[in-house]
Amino acid sequence: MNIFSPHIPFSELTELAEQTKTSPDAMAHLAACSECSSQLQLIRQTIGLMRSDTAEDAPAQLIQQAKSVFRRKVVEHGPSLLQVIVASLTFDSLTNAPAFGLRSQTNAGRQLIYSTETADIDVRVSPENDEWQIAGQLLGEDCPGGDVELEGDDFSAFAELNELCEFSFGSVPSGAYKISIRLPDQLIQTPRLELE
Amino acid sequence: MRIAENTLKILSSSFTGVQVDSIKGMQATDKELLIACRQGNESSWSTLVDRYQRLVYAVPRRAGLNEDQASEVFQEVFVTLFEKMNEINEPDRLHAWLVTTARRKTWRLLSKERTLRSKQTDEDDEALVVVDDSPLPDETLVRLEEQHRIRTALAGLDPRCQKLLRMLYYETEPPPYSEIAAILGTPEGSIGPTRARCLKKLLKLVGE
Repeated sequence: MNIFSPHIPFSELTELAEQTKTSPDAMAHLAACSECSSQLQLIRQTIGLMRSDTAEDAPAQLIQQAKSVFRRKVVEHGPSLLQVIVASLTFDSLTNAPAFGLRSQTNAGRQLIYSTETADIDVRVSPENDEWQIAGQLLGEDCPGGDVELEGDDFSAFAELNELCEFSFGSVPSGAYKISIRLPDQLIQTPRLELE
Repeated sequence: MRIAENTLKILSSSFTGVQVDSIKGMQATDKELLIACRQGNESSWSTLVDRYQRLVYAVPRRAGLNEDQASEVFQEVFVTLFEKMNEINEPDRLHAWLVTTARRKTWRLLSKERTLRSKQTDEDDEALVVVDDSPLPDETLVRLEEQHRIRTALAGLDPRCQKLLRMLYYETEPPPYSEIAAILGTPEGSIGPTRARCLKKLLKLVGE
């Protein structure tokens, strides 16, 4: 409690929780202030949980075996586990747009289409302050659901396909990105897309 | 549908993908790690195993299983996680899924033991041994999960805070402030305020 705040400072609450300090003023305040008393309760509970945490680490060899499950199972399943397909860029509004559309294209953003034998990916990139907004849709016969990873050198993000097979990423910094769409039996990857 | 002539098809399953253990300098969430695992990212799998090894191992141990039996449950849980990772609908609740799976496998193992023991007892014509059907009360599991949450949050703190809080709260006998000050290379008088700052950061991470 001081001139800036009517509440007990966190450092004092910590001391009260540790019972290294008691103060009649603080006790009186706690009796009347639910915010401070619940904060104190939370600190006590957290310290109590840490002090009573006697769980042991699993043996190192066991951890290693669990880690190797991934590689072992992937090898067991063989190449049919996941089909990885690299989609090719078949349309880019930045290079394909008609001359009369150039100005509006710059403002409205950029459209790219990546294609595989079975599906197209429609990707729209638009500026968002100093960053980028990426929205896309997997165009195919059906939408079995899946997730999407946007992978760059310094930034990665994940999204899930909605029922229309759409996805979006906001606040993407400039850089080069690869989009990977994971479907139940396929992983579709795009070439790297430069955003600058 | 446009068919690209130069579509490159690669049959592969051993790619490892991008490192997503940390994203933008922060710890990756369970959901991010699980999605990355689904995409074939082996290092995310390793991170998940490291993150949950203690919790998964604690469940059978708390139920009274010995090291060998606990190891059996541990392995089964992670094999099941690998096999079912595409079916987990709420990746944010992976901790609950793992605890439930470890509990079921623990119970099955205990149940098997009980059946064997009961047969043996019948054969020996002795009184039936009663084994507790619910060796892991909910409150024990909830506590384990809460402790796991705090440990995970702790791992997101800077190394100095981690070191201090581990010495203060995880050691059976916390060292005196003078020793902690010497280890951290800081004046003894700053331990209290630093502890408060670290605890505040920890609570923030736990709440996220």
